[in-house]
Amino acid sequence: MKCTKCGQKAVMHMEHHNLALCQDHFPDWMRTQTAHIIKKYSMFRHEERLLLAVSGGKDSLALWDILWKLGYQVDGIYLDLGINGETNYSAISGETAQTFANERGLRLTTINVKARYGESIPELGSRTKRGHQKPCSQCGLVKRYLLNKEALDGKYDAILTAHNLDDEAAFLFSNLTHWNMQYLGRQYPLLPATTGFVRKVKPFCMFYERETTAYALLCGIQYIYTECPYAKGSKQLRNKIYLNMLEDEQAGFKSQFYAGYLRALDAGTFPRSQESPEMLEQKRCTQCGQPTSSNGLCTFCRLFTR
Amino acid sequence: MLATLKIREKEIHIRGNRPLYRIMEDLQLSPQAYLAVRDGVLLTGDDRIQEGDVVELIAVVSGG
Repeated sequence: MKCTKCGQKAVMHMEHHNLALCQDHFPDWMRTQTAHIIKKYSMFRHEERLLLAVSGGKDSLALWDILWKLGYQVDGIYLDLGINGETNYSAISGETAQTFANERGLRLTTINVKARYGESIPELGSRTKRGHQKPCSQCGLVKRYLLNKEALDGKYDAILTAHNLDDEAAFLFSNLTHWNMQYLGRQYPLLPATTGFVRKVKPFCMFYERETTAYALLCGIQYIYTECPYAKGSKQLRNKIYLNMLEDEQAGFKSQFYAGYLRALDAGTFPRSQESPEMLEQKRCTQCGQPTSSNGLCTFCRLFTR
Repeated sequence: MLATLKIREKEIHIRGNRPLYRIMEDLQLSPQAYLAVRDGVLLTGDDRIQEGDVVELIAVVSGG
């Protein structure tokens, strides 16, 4: 197969785009498309300060590399969740992210959850009933809270996450099959800032997972290949497998599924559910001061209160 | 001599002299879920795998 642009040997065939690209043109295409998505959704501008959630995995490091090459001011934040055990997962992820940042002269802040709040995510999961056998729900809550807190404290203009199209399609699939309307109205490439919450954007939301992986490989980015030990057997992974089966049958299925949802959202098919500033002003956590829907402590502060 | 496919810690020995997509089909592996690398070069589905080749399949699906 030949590169559509130059006729050299192609290294990536993207059937859903009817496009094959060589090892030189594929990374260029990724950068151009990322810039296009940032512009299309008015995600952020060059003069703004950005905070990227970095996991040490392929997606976040590929996104950081692209944004750095596009000239954006992006600092990274790594949340050390204390998921170690046999795989030493958190420790290796953190080292990987730090090495990436050092090699490029980028700034990475590491927050150690146990050092700051007294418990790691696995310890939190085993103490509370919320996680049942896995601490994934606590983990998600802690990450969302801390990212927002660090962005507010550091006066960043936007929080960036490297969710790709497969992540978004799997999340959408789950929410649709459960008719979870509360989440359906919130899933969008950009969530504007509101009282107590920094703007959140997903510049990789239109890329397939194999494209972000290919970018990391072609650009020599060292990323953590080991999965989080709690991801095994997760609903999200299962949904991704189902969606890939559909993609194998019909090229472009995932892309059409997600893009169709965004069009429906833009057309008002699903109500956009974001709390109004007035509502958020009504209640504040008595401990941390963040807006909360409940009286007294917010969910995060309740989680760490024994 | 067979070709070797490496998937994480596993090694599979398979018949070569056929395109990668045929091998993926036979092994019931989704081309969406893996990237194939031979001698440091990414392969597309139509690339032929020869006897004696060592191909690494890199899983791309992640998340919990």
